[in-house]
This record gives sequence, structure tokens and C-alpha cells, in this order.
Amino acid sequence: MNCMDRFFENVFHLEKAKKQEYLLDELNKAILWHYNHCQEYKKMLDTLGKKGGHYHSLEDLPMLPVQLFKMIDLVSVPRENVIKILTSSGTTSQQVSRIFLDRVTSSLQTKALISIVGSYIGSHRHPMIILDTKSVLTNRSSFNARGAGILGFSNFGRDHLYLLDEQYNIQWSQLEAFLEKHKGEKILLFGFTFMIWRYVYQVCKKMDKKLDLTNSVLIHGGGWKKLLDQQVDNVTFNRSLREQLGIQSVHNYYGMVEQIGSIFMECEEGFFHAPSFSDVIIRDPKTLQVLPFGEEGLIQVLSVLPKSYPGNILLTEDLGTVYGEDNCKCGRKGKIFLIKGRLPAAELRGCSDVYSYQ
Amino acid sequence: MDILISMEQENRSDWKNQIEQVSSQTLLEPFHESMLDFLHELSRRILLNKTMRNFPELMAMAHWLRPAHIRQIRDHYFRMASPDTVNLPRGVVLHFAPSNVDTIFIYSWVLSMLVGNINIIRLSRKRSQQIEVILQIIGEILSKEEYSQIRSRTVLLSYDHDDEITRELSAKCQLRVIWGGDETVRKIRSIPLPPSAIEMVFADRFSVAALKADAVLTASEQVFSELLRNFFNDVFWFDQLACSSPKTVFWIGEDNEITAAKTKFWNAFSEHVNHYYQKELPAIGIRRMAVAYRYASMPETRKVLMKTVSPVRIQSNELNMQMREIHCGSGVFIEIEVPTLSHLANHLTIKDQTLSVFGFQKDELVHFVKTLPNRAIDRIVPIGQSLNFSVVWDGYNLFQYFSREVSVNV
Repeated sequence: MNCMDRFFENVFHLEKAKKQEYLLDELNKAILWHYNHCQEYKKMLDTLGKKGGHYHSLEDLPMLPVQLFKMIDLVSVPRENVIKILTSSGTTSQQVSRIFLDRVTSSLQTKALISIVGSYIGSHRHPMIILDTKSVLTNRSSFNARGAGILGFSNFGRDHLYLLDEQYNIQWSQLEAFLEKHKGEKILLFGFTFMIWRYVYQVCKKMDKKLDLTNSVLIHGGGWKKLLDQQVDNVTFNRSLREQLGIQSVHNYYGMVEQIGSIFMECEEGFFHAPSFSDVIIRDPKTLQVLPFGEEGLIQVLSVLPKSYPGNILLTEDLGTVYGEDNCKCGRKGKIFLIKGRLPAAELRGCSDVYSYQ
Repeated sequence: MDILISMEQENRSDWKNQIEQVSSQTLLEPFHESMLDFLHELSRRILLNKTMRNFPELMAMAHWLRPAHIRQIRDHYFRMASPDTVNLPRGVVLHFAPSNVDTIFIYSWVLSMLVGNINIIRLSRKRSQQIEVILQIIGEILSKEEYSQIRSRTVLLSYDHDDEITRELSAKCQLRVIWGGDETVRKIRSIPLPPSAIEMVFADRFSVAALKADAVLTASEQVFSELLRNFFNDVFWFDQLACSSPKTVFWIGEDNEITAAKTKFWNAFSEHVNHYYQKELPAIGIRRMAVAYRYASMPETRKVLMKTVSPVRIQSNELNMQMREIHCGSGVFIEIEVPTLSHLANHLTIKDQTLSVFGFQKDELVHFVKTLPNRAIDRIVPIGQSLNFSVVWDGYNLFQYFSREVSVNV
């Protein structure tokens, strides 16, 4: 059992001082690794006047803006070792991020996910309903964020039912058969926030159809932007699902394809938690100065897991607030935070933009 | 389909009928008196509107529309005539305006109107608040009886990307004008025109500035502060996204002069831009950071000097196509040092439109132009005039395209 494996047995155990020391040491090593193995990364740090390691605090570590992965392929292992390329979801007109995983990093990602999710739902594999269509999985060589999420999370359940057909209609008869078959068992539900809202909740609401999924746990994620546009926040979402579908236990998660392993799940107290191998820092959106707990700003994410690409320290475009560290009533250690949403998008001006003929 | 302005204030839903009627009007005589009055009134209404004062690019446009300037434009037009030719309007002109250099549609429409054409103008769905105000002003003025001849020859409309509508509109025109860059040009070009119609397209372009180092160092305080103000306007009126805004700065002179001139210039520039960043969206700053990192990863880049605000300065030895393409506006400058003006020619390509200059004599620039590679650079202007719209744009004489030349060789 190597050091990482021991780690994955309990990923919410490190207290602040030990965690900082551990992260700083691991992240300095990671930066040096990428500096020596990714030519573009080295060039970038050199040109920007930043060092390839030996930093003295987590806040000083060189962070890359998440958008950068849409502009350039960054890989720190020989290309023939890449077994999987993750892409961010995005419409056809947008550029997508491309994230390169080798066997080592891919396996770390799986272990991290198992250990984090296990902390919330235990290690028993429950019958599982995926609130999505199976057709998002058809292209197996290039996973987009939705497909990768479904594949990753489906390991936690058994006897999977994909609730929606290819046209996003609920497959009612299959659902009834599934619930009948697993009567009395706890059921694991997984899906993407907006898909659940649009294609499950709203459809049931419109048909005035109530479901009884009382004995279930829902894990969902994938961004709030579309729901916030419709004035639906986390509290409304949870209440609506409880009323219409009977779901009592809901865990939202926050993460991004650009930083594998950084899955921040909502605990019983309603806070996102940073596991021991990840951290979050909040920065002023304009000056990028570090902000104290309680102030809202841009979320920077740190993770020791990425080895095959230099994605250990990233500046996201999401806004959030950290409410403390090692102080959550749920008992898990680490920083706790909430997400506010995405930075308001910039309107493009200019005569040479592709959006003009819209 | 939204009809924003047309001959009939009522019944706007029937756009096909409106287009039919507008296209069948007779053509007006170039520089008809009612046009001059209309533009005068438009200019005055914009200049008097308090909300417009926060938008210097709109104030500049209003000045461009003033009678004194329109008279200069008219002189330019009539100088094209010769004893053997008569210039007549081309007919129906269909304009596709760019989404967010708000003011281009006015320039394109006005020049075409002045030479007597009927105009159909498609505006983007994404319109700024200030353009909505301008559209309202135009609508009010055109509703007056004395401008009915202009109104009956003008349609401003807006619709979502729809090839069918574009096809129907294109079938009606004698000239199609496409602003908006490569992608838009590609899309619209695939839709056919009547056999006799012609097309004028504006592709993506890039622009650069050249500063003579010793001129920056020896400039009087007044000249230097004007230079800064002018440079700032060229860069920021359209967030450095207008094709003609300078994105690369060439420094010309001896090494030690350049070092001193850069320090002097950028220190002063940084102070000058502070107030601009008060209103900048954080998302723009993050995009600028990502693009700066992308530049930093390129082999051509020597050093990137940046803070969280502009200027982000990419120190480079070269300017390649990719460096032009990834530029995101909002105050990023690729800086290249060369000993003399003639060294600049090696760095320029067909993509480059405007060269704005400081510290050079006209004759050295004229000499320099002759050394340029194929089709590089369509205009050279002093810094401060990069965004000034003129009758000749991207190498086109718009008046010539908007007109038909009839020769009378008897």
C-alpha cells in the first residue's frame, strides 16, 4: 500500500496545519514535475518570470486560468501514455478544454472519487437510476464532462437504469418495473442539475405526477447557471425535488473537468467540502488578492492528483465564499464553502467576432 | 424578424411586402438636399443627448455626421467625376452590420445613402443600449414628412441567423456589403446573389502601431500627453477589438533609446488607464490573463510583463499568424523592437490593415509603403486616428462600390 492509497481510506482527516504542509510539499513536487516534463508549461513559467518549484506558501503557487486549457494542449507525459482525453461540455461553436490522462492519473481520479463519494453514501453498491439518457455515452474515446461524470459515478451503483430515452422522455414503464424490483431497497440517483430539473422534475410537475423515491440518495452536479437564470437556487431545488419526487437526501457536487480529483460534495450541513488532497482559495475577481473567510470572490482550486497534465493549481471563473476550515458540524475536516455562480460573461465587442451573424 | 425602421410604421410583420416596396422605389439623386438635412439633424440630436456623452465613439460619429464634414465627403465624391463619366447609384444595397462595433452600420448606411442608394441593413440581435437610443432617434427624425423620401428607401431590420431570409434579401440587391469578419463572410457568401450583383466583404484584420523611440523621448510634455490620449482612444474605444485598433507596438530606434522610451511610455500609460479599469468586467480580466499565458507559452515570446490590469506586454521577436489570431483585445500589446522603419516590412502580412504611427515624416512613410510585402497595410494614420472611419476602407473606395459609373464617350 503506497502513501496515496492510505490517504484514500479517509480523505477528510487532515487538519489545517498538516494539510497545508502536505499540500505545499506535494504541489511543489508537482510543479517541478510538470516544469521538467511539459515544454509549454516550462516556457510559460519562464516567460512569466515564475519559478518551477520551491514556493513557500500555497497562495504563491503559480495558478493557470481554466480557460487556458481551451487554448492549448498541455501534457506532461509522452503522448503514447495518454489513455483518455477528457473534454469539457460546450456547444459546437465554443472551444472545449482538452485534458490528457495517463494510467496513473486516471487511476488516482477513480480512487479519489470512490473515497469522496464513499464518505457520503458508504461503500455498499445500491440499485442506481441515472437521470439522463444513455446516448451521451456513445462516443467512448472522447468523453465530455457529462459522459465522464456518468461513467465515474455509475461505479457506485448496480443494476443501472437510464431514466431518459434518446428524446429525453421519461421511460415510465421501465421506471415502474425498476422500483417494483427493488422495493424496500435504498436507491442511488445520479444526474446533472439542469437535466434533472428540466426533464424529470418539470415533466412530473406538468403531468401532476408524484413519485415516491423516499428511500433514495441523489447526487447531482454540473453547474447552476441555467437554473439561476430561472431563479432556482439550491434550497428551491431541494424542496421541489422533495415535494414532487419524494427525494429526501440530496448532495450537490462542484467540480470541473480541468482538475480531476477535485470533487467537492455538499455535506449534510449544506456546505461543499475540500478533501485532504484538494483545497480552495478565494480571490478578489479584479486584483486576485486572497480574500479572508466570509468574503465572496473567485474560486481557485488546488489538487495534488494531476500528474499527466499541469492542472494542479487553477483559477476558475466561479464565484464562491469559504466559511471556515475544520469547523463543520458534519465532522469532516477541510475548508467548507458555497458557490454563488459564474462570473458574469463578458459581451464581446469588435468587428471580427464569430457571434455577429446570430 | 424585427423591422426596426421602415417606410410604414404600421404593419411591420409583413416584411416581404415591405422589402418589395422599398426595393421598387426610384433612386434619389446623390447628395440630395433632404439627406444633408437629415444627417445634420441626426448629428445634432446625438450631440445634445446627455446619455451619449459617456460614449466617445458615438460622439466621434456625431462629429463625422456634421455638415462641415459631410461637405468634405461630398467634395470627395464629386472629384471622382470626369467629363466622360456620370456616377449613378448602384441600386439596392444590402448591408450586414457587425455585432458590436456599434457604429459601423451608420457609416455604411450613410455613405451608401448619400450616393443615392436604397438600403436594407441587417443589425445584430445583440445591440447595446446606446444603439437602441440611436435607433429611436433615427426613427423619430425619419418619421417627419420632409424625410419621407429617405424613409421610403430605408429598412433596418434584425433577425436570427436564418439562411432563408438572407437568401430572399440577397435576391433583391445589387450590392451586398458584409462586415463582421471571416466567419460571417464565409456564412453569408455561400448564399447566392443575383447574377448582376456585386459584393464587398470585410474580413478579419489586424492592426499595428509604430513609435519612433527618440521621438517619444524628446516629445514636449504637451505632445507626449496628446500621444497617450490618442493611443488610449485608438485602443480602448472598442476594447481594442476593432480591426483598426493597434494590437502590436513596434519600437523603432537604438536599443538604449527603445528601453528608455518604453519605460517612459508605459509608466505614463498605466496611470492613464486606471479609470478605465474601474468599469471593466472581471471576466474580461480573466480572459486577458488566459491569453497572456497562452502568449507566454509560445516559443517566439521572450517575456511577458503583466499585472491584473492592462497593459499586458508580450515581448516578442516575431509576429506570426497565430499571435494575431489569439489576440483578445482589452489591452494586450505585443512589442517588437526593430532598428529602422524598413525592418518593419518583414513582420507585416496581408492580414494587417492599419499602421498608426508616431514620430515619422510623410516622405519616409511613402518610401516605406513601396517596400511592403504583397497587400500588407491598407492605411497609415497618425496615432489617434486609427478608428476614424473614412470613405476608403480596407483598400476599398466605398463610393466607387456604392456607385455605378456610366461612361459617355461621344
